[in-house]
Amino acid sequence: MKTKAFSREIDAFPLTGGSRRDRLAPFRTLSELFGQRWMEGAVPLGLAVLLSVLVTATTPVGPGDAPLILDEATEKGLLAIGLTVVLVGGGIDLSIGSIVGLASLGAMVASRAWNWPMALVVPAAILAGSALGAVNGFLIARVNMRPFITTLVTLVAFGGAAAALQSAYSFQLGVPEQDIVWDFLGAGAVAGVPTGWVVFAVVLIVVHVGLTRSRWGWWIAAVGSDRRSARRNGIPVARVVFCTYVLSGALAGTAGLLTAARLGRTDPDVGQGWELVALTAVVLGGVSLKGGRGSVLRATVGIVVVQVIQQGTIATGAEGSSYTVILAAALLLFAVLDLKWGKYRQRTAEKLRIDPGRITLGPLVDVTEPGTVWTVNDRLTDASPIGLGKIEGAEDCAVDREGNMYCGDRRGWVWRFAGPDDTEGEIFARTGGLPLGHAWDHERRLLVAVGGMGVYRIHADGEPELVADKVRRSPFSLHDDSGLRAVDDLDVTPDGAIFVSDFSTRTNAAEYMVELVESRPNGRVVRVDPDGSTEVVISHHVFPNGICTAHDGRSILVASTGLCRVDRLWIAGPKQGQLEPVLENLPGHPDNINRSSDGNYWLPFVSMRTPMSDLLTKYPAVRRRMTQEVPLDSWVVPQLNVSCVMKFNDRGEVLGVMWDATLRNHPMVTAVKEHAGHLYLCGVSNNRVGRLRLESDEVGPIDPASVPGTTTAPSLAVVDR
Amino acid sequence: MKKKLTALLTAAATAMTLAGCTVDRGGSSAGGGAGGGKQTFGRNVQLFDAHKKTHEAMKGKRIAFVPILYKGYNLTLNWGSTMERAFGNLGADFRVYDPNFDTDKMVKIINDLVARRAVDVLILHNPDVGVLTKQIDAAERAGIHTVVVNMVSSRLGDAFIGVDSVHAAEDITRRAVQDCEKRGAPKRMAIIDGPGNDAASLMWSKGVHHVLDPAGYEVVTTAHTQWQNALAQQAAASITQQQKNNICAYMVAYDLNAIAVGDAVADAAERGVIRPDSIGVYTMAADTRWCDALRAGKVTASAAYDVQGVGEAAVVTAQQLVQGGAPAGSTHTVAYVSHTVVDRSNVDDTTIACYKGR
Amino acid sequence: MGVAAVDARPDLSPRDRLARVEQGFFVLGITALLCLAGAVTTDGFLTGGNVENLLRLSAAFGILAVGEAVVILAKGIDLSVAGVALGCAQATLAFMADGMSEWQAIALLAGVALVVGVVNGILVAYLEVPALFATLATGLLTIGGIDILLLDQNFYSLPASSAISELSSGSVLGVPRAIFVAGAVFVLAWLFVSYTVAGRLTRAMGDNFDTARSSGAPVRPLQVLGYVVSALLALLAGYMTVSVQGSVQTTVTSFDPLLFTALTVTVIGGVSLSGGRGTILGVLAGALFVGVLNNLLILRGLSSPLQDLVRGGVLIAAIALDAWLHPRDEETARSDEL
Repeated sequence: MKTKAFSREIDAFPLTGGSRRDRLAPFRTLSELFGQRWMEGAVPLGLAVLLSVLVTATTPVGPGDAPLILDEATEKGLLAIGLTVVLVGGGIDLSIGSIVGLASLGAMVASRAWNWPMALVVPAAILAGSALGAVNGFLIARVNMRPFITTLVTLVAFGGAAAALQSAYSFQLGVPEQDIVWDFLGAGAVAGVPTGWVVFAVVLIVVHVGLTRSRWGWWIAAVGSDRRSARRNGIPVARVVFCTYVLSGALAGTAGLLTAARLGRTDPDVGQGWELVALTAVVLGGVSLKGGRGSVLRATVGIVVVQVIQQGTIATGAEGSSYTVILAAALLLFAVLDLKWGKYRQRTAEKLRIDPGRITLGPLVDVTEPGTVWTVNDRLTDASPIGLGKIEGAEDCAVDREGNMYCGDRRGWVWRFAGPDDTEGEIFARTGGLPLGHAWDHERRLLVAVGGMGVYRIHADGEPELVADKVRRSPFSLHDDSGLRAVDDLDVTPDGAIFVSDFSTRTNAAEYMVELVESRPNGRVVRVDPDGSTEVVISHHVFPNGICTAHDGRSILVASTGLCRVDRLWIAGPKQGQLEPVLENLPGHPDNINRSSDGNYWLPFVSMRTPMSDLLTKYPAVRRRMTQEVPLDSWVVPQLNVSCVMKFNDRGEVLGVMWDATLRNHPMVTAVKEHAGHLYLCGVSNNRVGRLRLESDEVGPIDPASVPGTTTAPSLAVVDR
Repeated sequence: MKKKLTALLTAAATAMTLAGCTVDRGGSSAGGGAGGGKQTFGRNVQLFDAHKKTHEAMKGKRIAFVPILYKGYNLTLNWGSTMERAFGNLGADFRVYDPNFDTDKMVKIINDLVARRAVDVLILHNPDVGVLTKQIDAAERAGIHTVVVNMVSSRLGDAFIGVDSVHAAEDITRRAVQDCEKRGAPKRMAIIDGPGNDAASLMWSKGVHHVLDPAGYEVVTTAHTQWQNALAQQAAASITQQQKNNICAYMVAYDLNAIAVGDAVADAAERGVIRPDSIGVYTMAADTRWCDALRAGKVTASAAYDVQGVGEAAVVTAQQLVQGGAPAGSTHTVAYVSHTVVDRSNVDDTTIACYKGR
Repeated sequence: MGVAAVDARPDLSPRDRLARVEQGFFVLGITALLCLAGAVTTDGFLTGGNVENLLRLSAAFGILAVGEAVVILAKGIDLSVAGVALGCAQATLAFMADGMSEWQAIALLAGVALVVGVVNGILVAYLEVPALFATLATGLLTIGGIDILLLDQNFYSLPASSAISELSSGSVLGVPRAIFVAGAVFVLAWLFVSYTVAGRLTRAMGDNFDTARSSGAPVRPLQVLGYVVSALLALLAGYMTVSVQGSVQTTVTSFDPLLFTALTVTVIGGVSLSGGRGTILGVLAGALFVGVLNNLLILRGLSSPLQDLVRGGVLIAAIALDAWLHPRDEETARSDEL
């Protein structure tokens, strides 16, 4: 028999009985959204863009203004890029406005008064900007002065120098110098794109790549995030800081050159107030004032928004200082936003993370009523213990032909108890995760579903080998669901495929409580093919927790802890790919399913339903509030505190139920394995594995450990009578 | 990383070389504005027809006035209110844009108006000889007429209307020299002007020098004030402190600055740094506040010019340009209004002195 | 600098010894030297009239610097002072020009200054916005808002007989009134910082914010108090400025020279920008130093851009000295300490 690839995964959501609306988990989606790293800058940026859309919609600003806006944005954008780099490095540069003025006037004086050739003026302007930036850098990085106050002083001092320069050459400045280079810089174009835009684009790309992809950029971010760590990691903090100011100065010099070429302003106020525009723009663009975080691309969007707003105030003829007022208000608002958004984003994401859903269960069977198949008994109580005091929490076990018993342990180990009586225990393998489900493959190698890690194959020498730990990430998902983390049971089909239940794509195996309280269809069943490829076969299932290949090898049984039911997934035959119910409306929450030797199946319950727990499943809001206000160990969730094992057949008839009503020896049973007339009782919080001798009429000829339909004649192991 | 950057730069450089660099020096004359229309009137005109035609020609024409500063500034308010009345009567759409003393903003306003072709005639008040060159150029290419008032630009535009600064400076300087001779004061004066690169300051200094140099006077210093009173006061105070009575007059390019200079001089006299009434304060134009200061004895005399006349002339020129039908930038005119020297004796009898904002 | 000999402890480096000396005395010494140099090189400097004038002109930024010092002592900074000073003074003159009575206008604008101070305080203390950005923005908002809402002229002159003009004319007990008022502000500030609980806690807060908070000091209300004091003193300084100048022009500039001078005075006076360190005496010394320097620059006939350059250089030197005397601890320095 060969299992064909399923054309599409089965969506098990309808099993919850919920409506289409219940599928959505709005709080959780919000939480996931808030948790995304890109959200940090997206909200301020989104607001800023909204603002500019508002401006264009309410003022005469239109497409005709685009070139003007871009012209302005290129010059001030160069400042914004420089300022972003400085801010990411944990500093600030206010002097850029005056550097623009000085470079602009200096370039014009050099050209008009001193008659320098343009080949000299252009590099000189940029160098002059860098030199002024170097002054800042020296004072801040070497003399250890505070960046804000220092650049505030240099803003005034450089401004004074610009005014002095203008004053000294005011007459010569008034006479324009005709030069092809001036015209090229101011009104020229490269391939039809204005020169200034080209310069800006090149600078933007180079700085962006440098900041995000080079060691230089990482150093800057490291220094800006945490000076001490940066220094201890051997980053030359002073040199990095110095360089950011030099870069900022050089870009301001370039901006000065461009504005001189474009407008030819010769008054000493050139560049005055530009530092405020650039500062507002970068804050609007979501660059953090606290250092370490920021992107020049977002700063560019910020500067365009600021320019659009400015164009709006100009086109409406708003009063003189309204632009300053708007800028100041925006600066304040977005500074607060940067602060509060950064602070509360993670907190909100964390708070909204658990978002319980509604499920509908059928009427509750009263197991306490005497005289039914469910009637409570003490058959499990006297099972003899294996590894008492050694084992901690074996969720499942497997017994080989020689009668050696392998079981998991909370501490990540796999035990082997040798012998017919399983007295000698040793640690067989160390997985590092939480070993939950066990099964044998065709070659009689042990397969373990390791919670938190994936599916592993353990060789005879105890060496674990990874079989599968991821599936393809589902499209349009904010949440990365590619990892197989909450795997809890598995079984092998005749064609060698492994079916694994992964109870949650969101929580780790250790956080099963969260999953129980959420009761959302977060789980899935995954098929791992012999070549290692993986595919989700059932999605949106509520806490799938037990997997068992049916005796005929044509279907697998899937137990859902959350929905208290068992379903059959056909993997061969005419119904292939269909899910049909086997057991519904069970009185408890089922766990691992395993085959019995008489052609039936064993199914333990981890917990019984109560009217109270049934009620809670209907009120997700109550559970939500509970998770927020009550500590985890006081949550009202299905508690793993029952030892109950039932046997059922392929038609879904309950054949018998065994209990340990005292709970003395087995506080819980999560899995049972049958071998050679004995039943091995495992529990994820038990300190032993129980070995219960079965009555002879309960034992059949089948070896439950072998994959159905593969072995030669059902080789009955020696039944110990 | 370096390799990537090098590759990127190489690619950019190659693209640049391949695409070729171009320089746009105008030429693309588009007509969104009024320029290039046909003449409104011919050789002869019907008496009543003229009224109708004039209104028709001006109806809906968009006229923008962009002064250096508008709000609360008597000089430009005076022009603006004249224009508002005149253009309002003609049914034209007149609007004032106020850059509030911010050259950056002024440039942006003009760029915006030109880019959106939102105007037919631009009336500009230029803060700086060089600054509006490109804007006037762009306006002409967009077919928008430009009239520059009071402060000439190195790019002329269609017309310049204003005071004959050099001549006015010469007249008032002659008066200052007379006063100094009368007092027998030292032959030394100080000039206090605006930013120094604007037309008014440059021409003022020129005119003052025209008279002083041949008369054997020395200009002690030329202080630039950016039109700010605080700076003017500071400059006057410092020069007075330095020179004491070794100076006979301040030649202040701007009437409101002259009040501050007068304050500084009066203050120095009060503190005994100089003798009372030993230093004259001379200026150009006569704001009503300047007249108050004159009456209070703080300032000496001014070359008052017809401020209202500048506004009127701008209105007339705009009508001429619209009706004349010549394309924008095809004609260039420089026209001056009248001026005369006023002092305490004649200030109350001179209509063009003591202008108000409305 | 014979001061080092005063401290006898041998294990201190010269830098540490210098750091322990009250910077006020040091600055007063330099000011005296500067006066001496001025007297030798510039005639007319050391005359009674000039000295009185110098003090009168220094009164405004001295008062402003006191307010700034109170905020900086608590490890904040207030960049809105210039905006409050000029904006409120302009608005007062505008109201008076519209016929409102003077005291009514002053009371109204005192209310505005109070609101700005409280807003600054709330932004910094409760919303935890960095003081630099908060006060930069509120300063611009104040002066811009007043310009848009209240002013309709470019130029306001001060009526000769008003109380504001009296601020800088006449004399009290033989002392020119401006100097008297500034002196009173200095004395009150000194008493506040040195002898009141609030003043001492303010300094404690500037020295170590977390410790002050842990010890139960009402750090947030105290911060608000600092900004309110600073805003109200700024209002007074604004009136003083207008009183001396006799008129105001209302064009907005981004960083006013007044703010710059106040910061210079504060820093030169030894009020460390890292908070908690400095005295009112130091601020007084700083104000005198800057006053003398300004006067000398004017007397030497330097143009105003050159004056800016010199003042900028002096302030840079002062900050550099501060950084050298009280260096940031690289182990505890945070990146966002601007």
